[in-house]
Amino acid sequence: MGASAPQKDRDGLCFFGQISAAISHDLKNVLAIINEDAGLLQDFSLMAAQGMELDPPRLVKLAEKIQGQVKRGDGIIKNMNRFAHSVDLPVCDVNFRELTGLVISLLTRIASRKCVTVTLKEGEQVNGKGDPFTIQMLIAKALEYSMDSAGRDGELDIELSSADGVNVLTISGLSEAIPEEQLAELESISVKAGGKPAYVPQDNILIFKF
Amino acid sequence: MKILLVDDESELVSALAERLSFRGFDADWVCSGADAIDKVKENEYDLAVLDVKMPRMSGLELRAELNKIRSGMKYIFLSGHGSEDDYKAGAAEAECYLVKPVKIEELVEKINLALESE
Repeated sequence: MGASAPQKDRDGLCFFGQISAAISHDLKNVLAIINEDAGLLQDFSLMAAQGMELDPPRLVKLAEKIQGQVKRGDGIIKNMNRFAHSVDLPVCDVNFRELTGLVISLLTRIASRKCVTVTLKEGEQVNGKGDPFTIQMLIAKALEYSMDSAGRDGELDIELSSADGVNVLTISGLSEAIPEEQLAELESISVKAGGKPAYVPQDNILIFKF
Repeated sequence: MKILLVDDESELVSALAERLSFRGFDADWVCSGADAIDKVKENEYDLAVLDVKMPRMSGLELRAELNKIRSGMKYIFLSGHGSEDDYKAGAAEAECYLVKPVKIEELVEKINLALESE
């Protein structure tokens, strides 16, 4: 076994860590909001004990806010669970649209920090065989580099299509050229994911064929 | 005592501002660095509570901008992240650094301590 095997594992581990950190940050925010809303309920109760009149509609609104955050947290944990289970099988049936949607959700915070909007265009179901974890890593890396290329207030569109047994994922809306080393990294991950990347600078698009 | 709360989670800062008002603080809140800059231009705040990680402008960047407008303000940083780098940066540059979710009593204590150190 050469030196590249541990490195390969580490790349995947780094990606897993990056996504897990983003999820933990989102969950911390959810908990912080629930904490403050519960604190407000406690404040109202203490003030009511001192004679202040309670405002039932306000209490209902607060309860709805807490329920809304529980729903938000549940959605984050569901995505986290799907992501965690993506390492279960190295190669299996893959729904590329579903997988792309999941990666976009997982990268919401990163997109927000980079001030870029990412849209998955409506379209047909695109299925195939592949390694879900590596495909997610490829889409996530490609999106991150595309966000950097698009710049602040950039808008990235992702399209998925299938023709003659070839699945195609296209990211458009790039602006500045993607650096050579990033393209080389995408190429390397793409090979592991069973795909083939193409970058078309004049059209500002990044294409992956599976 | 006038306080400004800045966090991109509106539900969090609005609830926190209300809870602080029950404890005798005059607290305003905004959800972005740009809005915080406008508020500080319009009003004189004693202290700002800033989220470390916000879109467009981080808490640390915002602090530098606000210092240019009003040099005497005190700062407390809030983060859900709690990374070591954030902690080091926050601890070195801020009066105080708290990790979400925070206890209101602890925040009030830290606000009072920061304002007493003037």
